[in-house]
Amino acid sequence: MAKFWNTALSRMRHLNIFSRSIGRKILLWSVCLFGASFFPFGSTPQPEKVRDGNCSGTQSFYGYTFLYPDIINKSAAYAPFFLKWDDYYDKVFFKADPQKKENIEEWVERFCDQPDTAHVDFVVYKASSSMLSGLRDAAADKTKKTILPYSLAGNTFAEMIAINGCTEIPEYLMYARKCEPYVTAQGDEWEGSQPDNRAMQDLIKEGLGRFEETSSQFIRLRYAYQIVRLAHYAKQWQQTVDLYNFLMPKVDRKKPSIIFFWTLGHLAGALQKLGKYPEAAYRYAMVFRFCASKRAQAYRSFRIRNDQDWNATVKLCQSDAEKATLFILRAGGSHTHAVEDMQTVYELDPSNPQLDILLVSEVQELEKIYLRTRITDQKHGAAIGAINRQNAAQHLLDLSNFVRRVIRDKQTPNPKLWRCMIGYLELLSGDRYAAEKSFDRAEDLLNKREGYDQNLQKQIDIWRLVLAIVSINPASEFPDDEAFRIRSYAVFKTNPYFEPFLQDWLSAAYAATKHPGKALLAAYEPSALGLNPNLEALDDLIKVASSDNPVFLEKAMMIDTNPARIRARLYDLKGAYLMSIGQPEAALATFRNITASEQALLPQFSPFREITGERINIPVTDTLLLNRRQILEKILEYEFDAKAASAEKAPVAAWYYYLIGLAYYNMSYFGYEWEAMDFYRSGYNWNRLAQGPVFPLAGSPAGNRENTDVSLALSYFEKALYEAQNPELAARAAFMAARCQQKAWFCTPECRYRPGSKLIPTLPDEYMTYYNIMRKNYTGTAFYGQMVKECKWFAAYMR
Amino acid sequence: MIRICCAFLIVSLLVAACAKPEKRAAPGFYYWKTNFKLSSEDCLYLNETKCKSLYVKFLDIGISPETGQMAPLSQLSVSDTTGLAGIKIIPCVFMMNRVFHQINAEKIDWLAGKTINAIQKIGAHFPGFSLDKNPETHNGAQTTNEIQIDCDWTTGTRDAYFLFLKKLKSALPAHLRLSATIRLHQYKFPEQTGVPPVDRGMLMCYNTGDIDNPNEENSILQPKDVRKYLNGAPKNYPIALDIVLPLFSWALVYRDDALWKIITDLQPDTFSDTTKFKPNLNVGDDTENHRYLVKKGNFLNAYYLRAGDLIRIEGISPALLQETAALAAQTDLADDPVIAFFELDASNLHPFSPQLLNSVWQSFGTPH
Repeated sequence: MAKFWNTALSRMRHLNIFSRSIGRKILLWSVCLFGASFFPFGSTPQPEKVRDGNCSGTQSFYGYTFLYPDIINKSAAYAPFFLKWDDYYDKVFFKADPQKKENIEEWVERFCDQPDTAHVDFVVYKASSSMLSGLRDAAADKTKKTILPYSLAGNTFAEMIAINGCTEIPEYLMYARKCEPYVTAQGDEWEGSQPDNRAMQDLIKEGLGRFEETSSQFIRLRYAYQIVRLAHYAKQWQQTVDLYNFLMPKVDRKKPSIIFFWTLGHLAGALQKLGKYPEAAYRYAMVFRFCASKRAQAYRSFRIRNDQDWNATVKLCQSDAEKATLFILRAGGSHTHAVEDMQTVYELDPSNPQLDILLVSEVQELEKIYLRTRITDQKHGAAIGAINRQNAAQHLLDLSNFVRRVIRDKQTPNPKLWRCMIGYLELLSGDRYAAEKSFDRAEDLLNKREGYDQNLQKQIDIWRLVLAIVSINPASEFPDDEAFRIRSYAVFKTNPYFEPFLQDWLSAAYAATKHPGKALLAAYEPSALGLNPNLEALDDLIKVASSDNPVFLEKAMMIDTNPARIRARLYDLKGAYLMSIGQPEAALATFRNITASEQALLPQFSPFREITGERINIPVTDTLLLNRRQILEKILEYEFDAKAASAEKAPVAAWYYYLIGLAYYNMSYFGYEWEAMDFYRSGYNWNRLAQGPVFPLAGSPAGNRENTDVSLALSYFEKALYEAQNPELAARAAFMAARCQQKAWFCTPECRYRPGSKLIPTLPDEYMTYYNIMRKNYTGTAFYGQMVKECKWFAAYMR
Repeated sequence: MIRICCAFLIVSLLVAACAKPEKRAAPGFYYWKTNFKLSSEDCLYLNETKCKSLYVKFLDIGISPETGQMAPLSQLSVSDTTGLAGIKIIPCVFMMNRVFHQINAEKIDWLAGKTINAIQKIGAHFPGFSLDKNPETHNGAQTTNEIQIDCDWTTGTRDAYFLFLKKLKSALPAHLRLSATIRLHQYKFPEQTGVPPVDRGMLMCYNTGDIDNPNEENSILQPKDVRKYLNGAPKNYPIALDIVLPLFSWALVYRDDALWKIITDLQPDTFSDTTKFKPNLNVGDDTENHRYLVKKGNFLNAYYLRAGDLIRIEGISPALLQETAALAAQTDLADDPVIAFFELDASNLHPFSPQLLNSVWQSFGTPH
């Protein structure tokens, strides 16, 4: 937006001081008003738009989603492994250290929830070996006279250990401290590390001795874990398995412990290294199922090489619930078509809570398809990783049928979620009436005071707004009123996707009802109108602006309710485009629709000057400043005069043709007055002229059109050369014709020249016609001598 | 008569003086696995092709998903160095382009130092390997004279990447030359993409197609794509170039028209099970029958394929290799180019006899 209007502002350098200041003020006002118009809620959050990249789709966009993350129980579920709600889980789930948290909870529970969690954390994870040694001494002193180390004073957990004489705990913790350096990443990951096998074996030996001497089953399990872990980190795969098989039967596991699953994870790792993939996969599945703190590692390590592995792993399962876990893990490997797996899981374990996660994950995939429009694709490129519509229809049907079955069977532990979800699936399938009814029914089930139900209510509110957006009827009289009303809802501001989604949807709906202009303005910034003007879109908008009740534009203008100004802008855009495609008469007719008062506000240019340099940003001082309409009038007048003079063989004919040629050249992509026929010029396109004249540009549905065709200018220079009766003017016309031919060569795919190159581009013979004429006929002219001095390229061509 | 003879002699001498000397080529192989151990078949290919240069990937450097910091994502472990007698190891470092986003000069300095240290540390597993010893003064030592950096830089990362190369070069012993991989588009548009500040480039003559497009015929290599890059490329590339040609194959799995996975290490009979796969001849002019449709869900190389997935097998045939070599010979290679093959892996090499590979690399010049 800014760039577009900056371009317009830059025109002001052509005005004299008085008109410049006034013009700038007026233009700034109209810019602000026009620009603000289509985004009345400036603070509405929306994904950032990119313009600079010169190509669309520079940022990854996976599609709109209107799922509210809190409808899933994060801590108890497998959610992080299936869902991609941006970085929600990174923030909420992964930032925590679930392993440490679960371990501390287990210690606290073992001490009947008496010690403070922070105190347990300090003793288990932070206390130094000397502190632990002091703690052990205090616990071993039956007289209870040994005081705790200073840093443990007041620590409820340390006090309980000391009072109860639990020497095994500090002994174990001191052993764990010794193991630590060998089983955790140390120092710089650039250095790599090789296990110190001898030291680790010594520690295993020591641990085995301690294991035998320890009476507490709680601590014995922890010794077993440390020992098995050491063997695993020492890369002694068979020893890991042997130690596990030796130690675990000796531990009383009546009371469940997460440490068992931690140990099981190391066994699984060793089994995988030994090539026992099914045995390893089965154990990883158990860790995944039962141990939240090691779930991520288990998910990443779960590996089935082939169908034989899979079948063997399934056979190892001892219950349908275990089998269901395997299917969930398999389904997690991809993000599409998991209905089949969901059905299998449901047959095996209908109350499996993880089905909720798979359901939401599947719905996310469908959102990618059904919440896209043609406009979304134009803006962001084709969908990344989304299933195609044909498959999606079947997929949506399959999933809807499955959801209805689950609701019917009443075996799911979370029926409210499934009831809500069927409404959303109906919405996605386009059955708005059914969706509305399903949301009503789901709402009736919710207890508004319960936390989870409140989350579901929020979710329904979001979906109801989506429903309102997709229900906007562009054929109705006031679709824009409806859009503005939607924007005013509080829910609208809860999801950053609402604004772009509304724009896309409204735009697609307008396009479908043959309103290309409204469609364009609904989805894009007003500057897009001038990037590659579309006559149908401009005519549509002019029609709306010219009607008695231009609701769309007036609403959009908000403050500036002057339709004449808007119409003037639109006619200016249309006229400039017609000029650029060589239709001066049609352009003039268009410009004549602009009222005189608006004409006075339009930017002015000076395209008839003879500028021989190639720079496009040059200060131009001229008394002849004209707006686009006046330029055209002047061109048509010159053409008339030229033809009249030519008929009378008057020498001035050449001069008029030359001036027209100059105007067209100067207003082209290569000229200093390019803004007279264009509203956005990208210097980058110099690097790829052959791909033009329309170049891809982010934020523009039809790219950016550059006026690179200088054939019209060339034709006038040729006429000037033909009519010229004095060698100086002929030399000028030939020189400009040569420049046109050179630019035409730059636009061919064969041209290798790129701006910035120090090499002077060599032109093929067919593009050297007028340089050759210069060399052959006009070396004696003053203009030739001047050009040879001023222009290195010209001098080189003349050599 | 004497005059004629003299004239002929002078003309001959002039022609001889002006003619470009014939190139002196040498073969090379890339070793891109994470564990170094040559199989007997690998050794056979090295010996039969008289290969003296083995480009070995020592480490991948990227952004650690755990810490968000730049770190080695994988490092070569060396199990066995048998079969390396007389072969020069050229350490290669693959650098993810992301590394060079928003990196300051100080960090670039640090990265260069870390990279050299890591190369030295991994290289220590190869007998006699040293960055400090000049092979010309240490005859017979298992040492190296080159380090290669592989990074698909973009306009946004170019400055940082090139600065990294400069720092690396200045930190290396003088006898070591620094090389970098050059993609075909970088070769064609040196003015736009820049030329890396290195002693030598390795032009990668593969990955020419659109891997994301399910209807692409062969994204690894198609002569028509290579021609597109070569047509209009500058006649003289600013640095001396070697070239690498592909010998690898893979299966691309498309799910719902989007690339889902790349599967390597395929067995020849992988898709012969007609209960799981059926040849898919519906796409394009697929006469070579290298597309399959998954009929039934099944695990393949640790990936679970679902019914409806489309598989495209891509590889290089001997004829395609020869055609590409002929095209690649038009590039501006060094006078003593290494003609490398990617990669030394027995599972990919079976279509190519050592004799064929010899004829390919010798088509670039006489052996040195």
